[in-house]
Amino acid sequence: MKSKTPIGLALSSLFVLSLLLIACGDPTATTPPAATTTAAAATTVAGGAKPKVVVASKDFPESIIIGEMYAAVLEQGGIPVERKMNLGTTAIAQAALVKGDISLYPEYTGTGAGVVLKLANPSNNAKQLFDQVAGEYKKQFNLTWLDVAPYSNRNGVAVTKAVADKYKLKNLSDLAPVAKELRFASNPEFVGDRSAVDGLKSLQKTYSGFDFKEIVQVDIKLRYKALVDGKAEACVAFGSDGELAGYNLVWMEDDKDNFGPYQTGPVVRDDILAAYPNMKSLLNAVSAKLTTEKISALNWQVTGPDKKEAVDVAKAFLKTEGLVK
Amino acid sequence: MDIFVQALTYAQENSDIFWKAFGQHLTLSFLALGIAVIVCVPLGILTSRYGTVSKIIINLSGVGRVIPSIAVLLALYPVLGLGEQPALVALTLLALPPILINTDTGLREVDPSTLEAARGMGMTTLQRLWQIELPLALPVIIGGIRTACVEVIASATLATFIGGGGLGDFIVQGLAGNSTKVLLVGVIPVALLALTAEVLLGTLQRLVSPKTSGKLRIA
Repeated sequence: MKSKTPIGLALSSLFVLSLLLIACGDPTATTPPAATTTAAAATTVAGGAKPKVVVASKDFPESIIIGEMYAAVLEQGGIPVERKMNLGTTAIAQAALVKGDISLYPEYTGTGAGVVLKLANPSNNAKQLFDQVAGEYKKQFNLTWLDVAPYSNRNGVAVTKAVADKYKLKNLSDLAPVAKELRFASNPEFVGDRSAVDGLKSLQKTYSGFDFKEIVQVDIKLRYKALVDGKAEACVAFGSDGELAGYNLVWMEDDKDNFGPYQTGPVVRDDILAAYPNMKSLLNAVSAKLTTEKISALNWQVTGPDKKEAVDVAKAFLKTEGLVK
Repeated sequence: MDIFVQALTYAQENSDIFWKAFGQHLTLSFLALGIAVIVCVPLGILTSRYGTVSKIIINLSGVGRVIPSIAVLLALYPVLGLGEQPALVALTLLALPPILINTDTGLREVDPSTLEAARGMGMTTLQRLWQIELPLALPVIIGGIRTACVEVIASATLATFIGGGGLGDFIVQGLAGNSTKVLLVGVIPVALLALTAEVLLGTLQRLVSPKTSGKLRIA
């Protein structure tokens, strides 16, 4: 460790240098910063005294796709934006929004209730939950929830086709007693602190059973990978996941209405909304177009074999729907 | 202070899950460390005897340390799938360099005059290695194991991303659910484990250090 030889130095510097070259050569690494610079420049030219609009998203495909949609319709409506997609967890996005580092991002009513507000008794009725969450956001943070989309990206459980056929499973009541035979791939949230409100513990309480043979906790993006790899037979699924159709999985109907609604809408800072009067109608037009079928298909374009970029998927969709030219 | 009490309560309420994760964390760490010791101590003995080849091996293993473990994990999972095995491979790769480098260095730093004296007394190569070189190099080798052990215990928290379990489960639950108490249920035991390993191996290192020599004593 003490003796640094010339060969050693040469080898390590060569390695570091090659890493740098690879990093610079990656086109995806250089394009976004260039795009943001132009957007920022546009702000100073056209904006004048108006505050800069920063559109953000969390770190999973659906959030990025919808974030890109928000950014694109705002640009179409003449509002220059800066993009800060892929921000990380809810806690990070929320903190950035309250601090003013970002102006808006897509959030789910269920996540707002569970992760941000930590409501003890969130409503299971979509409309009531929205009112509850939007009211508290306004009161606590001066943030506005604009219209939410009709689809609900609610929590659920999916199983492989083989398992569904073998045990004749249609809904969560069917699955409850069989669970002890199965391994369950879960994202951290579902088995974590809030599990009693909208996760595994609530499932066990509502349906009795769900005593899975093994719980495989994986990163949220790898739940389906665990099923495909044969490391689990059941997994946490969200209502709009493209993998459900893509991998031919069977969604278990929530016949006892255990899981709460997760509707998506833009959460916007009040000062930004006041500065741009046309922002509200532009963003609401996006929410109105998003149904379960449409968003699932868009998600699959990114997470499935096509591996398209979220920004391209978002733009193509908005063109088809006639929201941007 | 309140948050620590909450964390403790949470760990107690979920004690079965906690101890399972704790066990996974220890198993993963010690398996990785064990494999690294078994591979690297003999390899280090070899490299300490050969010039250029050894420099290349040592420096290649050093290069391995530059790549973050999380990158190794995510690069491996398409090949090895999810679960403990890819996590074990990534952690073992992390543990290799300090042990290899320290074994090599420790043996090279044995005073040539001591070896000359041993040769003069008619000791064979194997006797010299076993009775002179290894005992003198042991503090340095254990120093390498100590570094590797602390790194592995800390990095085993990353296994959770690919379904490898361990105390990292609580850390990501805390991060994702915006809950500091759950985060601490993962963080505190990891910190305590790493500190314990550091203290135990540090003590062992001191115990095996030659009592009189100033030169060979390794800080």
